[in-house]
Amino acid sequence: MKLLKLPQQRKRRFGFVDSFLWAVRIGALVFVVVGIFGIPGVAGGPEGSLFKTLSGEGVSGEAWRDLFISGLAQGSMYGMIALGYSLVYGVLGFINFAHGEVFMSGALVSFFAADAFATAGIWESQPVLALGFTILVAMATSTIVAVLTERIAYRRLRGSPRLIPLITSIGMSFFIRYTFRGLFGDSFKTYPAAPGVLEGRATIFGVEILKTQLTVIVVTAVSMVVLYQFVARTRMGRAMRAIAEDREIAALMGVNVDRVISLTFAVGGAMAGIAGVLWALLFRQVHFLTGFLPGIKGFTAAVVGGIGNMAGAYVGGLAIGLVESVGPLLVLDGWGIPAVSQLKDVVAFSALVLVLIYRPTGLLGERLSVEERG
Amino acid sequence: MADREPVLEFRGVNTHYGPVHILKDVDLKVFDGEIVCLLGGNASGKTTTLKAVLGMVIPTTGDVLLNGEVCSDKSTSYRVERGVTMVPENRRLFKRMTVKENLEMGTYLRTDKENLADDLERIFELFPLVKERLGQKAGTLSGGEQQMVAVGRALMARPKVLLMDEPSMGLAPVLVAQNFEIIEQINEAGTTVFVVEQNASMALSIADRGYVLQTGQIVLSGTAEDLLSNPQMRQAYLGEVD
Amino acid sequence: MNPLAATSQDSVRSAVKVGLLGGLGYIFVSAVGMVEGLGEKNVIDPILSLGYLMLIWVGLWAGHRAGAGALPGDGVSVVGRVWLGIVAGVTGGLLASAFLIWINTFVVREVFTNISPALIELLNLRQGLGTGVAVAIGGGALLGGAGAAIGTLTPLMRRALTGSFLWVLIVGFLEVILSQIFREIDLGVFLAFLIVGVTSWILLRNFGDSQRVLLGGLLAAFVVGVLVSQALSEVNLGLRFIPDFAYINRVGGRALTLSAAAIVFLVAFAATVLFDGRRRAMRARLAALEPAERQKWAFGLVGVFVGLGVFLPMILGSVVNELLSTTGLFLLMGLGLNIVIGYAGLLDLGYVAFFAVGAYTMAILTSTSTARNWAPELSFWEALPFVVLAAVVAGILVGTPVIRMRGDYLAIVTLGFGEIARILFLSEWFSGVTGGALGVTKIPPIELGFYTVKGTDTQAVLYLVLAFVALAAFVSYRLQDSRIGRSWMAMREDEEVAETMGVNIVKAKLLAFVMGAILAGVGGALFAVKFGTIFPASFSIIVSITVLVLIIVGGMGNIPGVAVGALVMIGILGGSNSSGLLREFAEFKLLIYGALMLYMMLNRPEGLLPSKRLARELHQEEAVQDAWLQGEIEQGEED
Repeated sequence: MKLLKLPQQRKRRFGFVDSFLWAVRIGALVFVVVGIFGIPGVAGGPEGSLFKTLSGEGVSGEAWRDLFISGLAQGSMYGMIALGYSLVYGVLGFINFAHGEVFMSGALVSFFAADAFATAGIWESQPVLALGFTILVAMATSTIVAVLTERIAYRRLRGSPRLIPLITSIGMSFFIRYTFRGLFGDSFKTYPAAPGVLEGRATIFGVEILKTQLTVIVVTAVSMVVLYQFVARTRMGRAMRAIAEDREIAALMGVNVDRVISLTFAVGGAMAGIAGVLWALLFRQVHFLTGFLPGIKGFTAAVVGGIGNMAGAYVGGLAIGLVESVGPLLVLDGWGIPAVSQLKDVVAFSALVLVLIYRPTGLLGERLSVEERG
Repeated sequence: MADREPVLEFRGVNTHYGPVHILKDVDLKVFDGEIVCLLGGNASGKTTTLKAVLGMVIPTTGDVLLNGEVCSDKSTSYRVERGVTMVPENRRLFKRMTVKENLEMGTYLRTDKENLADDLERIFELFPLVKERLGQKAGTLSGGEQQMVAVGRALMARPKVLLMDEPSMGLAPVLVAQNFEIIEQINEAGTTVFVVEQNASMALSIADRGYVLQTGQIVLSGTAEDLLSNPQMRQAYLGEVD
Repeated sequence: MNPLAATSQDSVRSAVKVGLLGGLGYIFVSAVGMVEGLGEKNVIDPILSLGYLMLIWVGLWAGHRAGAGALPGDGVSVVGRVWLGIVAGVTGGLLASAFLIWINTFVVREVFTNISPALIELLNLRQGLGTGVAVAIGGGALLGGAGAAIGTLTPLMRRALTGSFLWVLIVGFLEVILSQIFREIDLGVFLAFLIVGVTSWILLRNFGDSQRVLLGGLLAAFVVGVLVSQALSEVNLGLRFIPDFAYINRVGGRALTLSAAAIVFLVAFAATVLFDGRRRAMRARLAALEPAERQKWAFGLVGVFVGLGVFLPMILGSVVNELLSTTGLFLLMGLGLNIVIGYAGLLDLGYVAFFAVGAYTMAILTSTSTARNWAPELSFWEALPFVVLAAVVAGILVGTPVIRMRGDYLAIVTLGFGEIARILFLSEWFSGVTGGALGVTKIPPIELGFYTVKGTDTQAVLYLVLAFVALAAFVSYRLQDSRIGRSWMAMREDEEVAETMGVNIVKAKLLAFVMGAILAGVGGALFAVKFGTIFPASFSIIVSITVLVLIIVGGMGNIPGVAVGALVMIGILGGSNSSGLLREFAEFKLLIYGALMLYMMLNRPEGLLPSKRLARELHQEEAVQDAWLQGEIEQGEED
């Protein structure tokens, strides 16, 4: 039985706010349904994406499948990023706005490793070695950045009202972002193309998928499993869970709270670093601004899945990835809105807004510590 | 007894919470092998005393000594390593973890992995119910069962000094008596126990010595028999009418 | 006497640590490009460029930290402290030298784009690696010792020293404004100032209690002043010899000459030292004033600013006026966000959305371009009520869904709203009305009947902006002590308790959002008119964050603070799309904003000019620690 804090049950008049919220609920539902199914029989009205597909005008079956898969791949990466937000929120109770930049730092610094490998030819001849090492570089960078932010800024703010670390993390995110710009310039860094072995498509269970996408999904899944084992089985993992649940009693058990909190940040950072390389593998270009959108979407994923909940981060990530990938064409195109791919981020942000309004505890339920639940 | 060094000692401890003076010049000693109780009502400073032992509250003046060593500013994990552990008020188990994992958390600082299995067996002997519930999430247990797990968790650390914060709180009277019996058993097996309690009669029935805390000051101290026969005690805490 | 004997192992160790941090600072400032990027701008010609100043500041800071690290009263002498400072400086210098050797030997420009040959030249003082290393270590020692030495001075000396140097910097940075003023000041403006000043002095002294007389008299004085300034505007006071003497033309902009710098320094120093007694007496008197008396002083101060606002733009020239109007727009937004965050405690990170709504509404309703589908071509004044209406609707749309949310989720949701707004304005979907990526063009000037305020008429635009800012400031000020202001403050402290005391939380929150939206919306409308064209790129999250940094730096909940924040940040460093006075900082301003935010939140969460309440709340922790420390010291004395 999970312990969820129920909001105060007060007798409230059905006021303005409630009517507004209901209106939005219904409006959103209608919008989505009509976008998918259209309004039959009304000439010049929304056709509905499903109808368009069936009639051959809209998105084809294969295209839907491609979108679905790219949504999964994208979502896996969001999930990895979401872990960092989820872990930190579960333990310390605030949104670490700078986590997007932790992700960016791994992607950006590992570029130099990948580039060096490509120039030396190792990228093609020893792809596993090269890719593996690149991932290690990314993980190291992101971990260092994450742990430094905790030591320099957040440690001092433990116990402050939660808006203060949030605002601090905004400052931190700007600082990191523009430091990296200063250090590495503002040009786009183009990763070498995926090594030959990962070029093109593969067929899994009869479904065609880009090999790079497959790599992303597999690597993230494996990372998640490894992480889960670490947290569930090892002594350090238990210490992390103990601190995430009740910091005072964990200290009572002899847990070195400061060190384990640093470890928590490090783990989130490492996952974000892996995501950074995968991102670069899929999208080839990284740059000091690369962290902003994935960061916010990562946070959305964490909330959607249930903040503080590791499995929730992954599930939330997949959900956001799919919504963002399939949503524009599924819903918006059905209404005849032009250039829906531009509005991908609107869909993602709308999902964020709707989830935070209507189900802030997320799909799998939030896991906060005793201190934060209070 | 007077020449032995106490395993736990407070010398002139004063604590503050902001401007509020909580503990006032508290002196106390706990010797090896004893059961000592600290009695007092609400807001007497009992919990602060325990927190000061563990380093969650740092005295503004005065010293906390563990085995003769001044530990006033040392971290909690330092002190836990030196053999102090606590069964907190209201149990405070890790509800999302299983019973087994809670017990394992108790062994967090222990390096002698060989003895863990034996210790676990001993816990099962003390609390047979715990063995049955090993795989369950701790949050699903009843209050009494949780208390057992909490004590077990603390014992798994093989503490020299076991602190107990109001073990009778929130438990049915039958369970309370059971609990205190178990405390005696633990003590006989060699663990020093320092119990903080409101329920004076229960506590004094098993304790060797006791202190009475009132608004942050020690107002009475002595052996259990002395306290039990003390007329002030009897009126204020033991509820007897002269 | 062996100086080492006077210091403890711990102090030396922490000095080394501080020194390493200083060395890292050196590396950071160099690698990020500040030394080179700011190197063109000379603060004091010819010796001190802004780039070098950054390095010097790092060294001084390290020395000061190291020397001050030892607690007072632990027996460390002055020599000891200076020694610690030197230790820190040398350590930092060694680290810096390692860095120098590295960049001199290897070409790292492929990775670190700002470590260029030019940077290496600058760090080596154009004399080669040997000099560079010598400067790093020797300079480190010198600066470290100096920094520590400064820490040992009496507070008065310290204030005089650092204050005077600050004045030199200010006079240097504000070169454009000061030159302009001295060059252009004419008899008319001067007399106008005099008239207004003398009149207000007389009025305050003799009729200070009657508000009506005060206001009426001031107004009359202003009118006379304006007339005089216009009449005598041709008579230049011939003060241009001052800036011509003080500044010298250089590639990076005019820099302060050595002699002028020395004069400023000495004058400021002397003033600080000589008038210290007077200053303290004034402070005491001000503190002891009755509220009625204080109101008079406040009034006077406001009058001074209004005077400056009316008469300065006449002589400041278009570049400065333009900069000031941008600052004014940010100030307007700052006042609005101050209501939402500072008064009501609602962390709105999507504030730019309201700005965009105002700008687009004004643009769409007034634009004369034919590129869009719907162009009603209203006038500015006809459109303004619609702008306010749109802002109100936007405020309600944003505020209602978030009413029951906890603070941090509210922040993220508003951020989401801000981004949604921007993307929608940019989208092809709405481009029929909003013009998509091309924006809206041909926004007409404002007709005032007797005058047409064109966007390019910087003086008139500035007056318009200042007028609205004054209005907004007045409204903010009144809101603070009003019933709704107090409801907001109660709500900010503890929402549940406020509700039990009868505050209607829904109304309070919505009102906060709406007020903030209106101020931003009007700002947006002015923005649209000023530039004549608007693009969706101008409405990014950077604007929201910039305004947030502004009010944090200036002090949340505090009107003069927001003004100072705006002037310092936007005026000097630059707004989100424009540069400030110091154009060199344009590349680094967001980095500096991030660092500022960090510094403020870690050290002084209540901002530069703190609202006394917030300061009290946030420093509770420190009070507890102080009490403990006090206890420790007492115990130490007893032993």
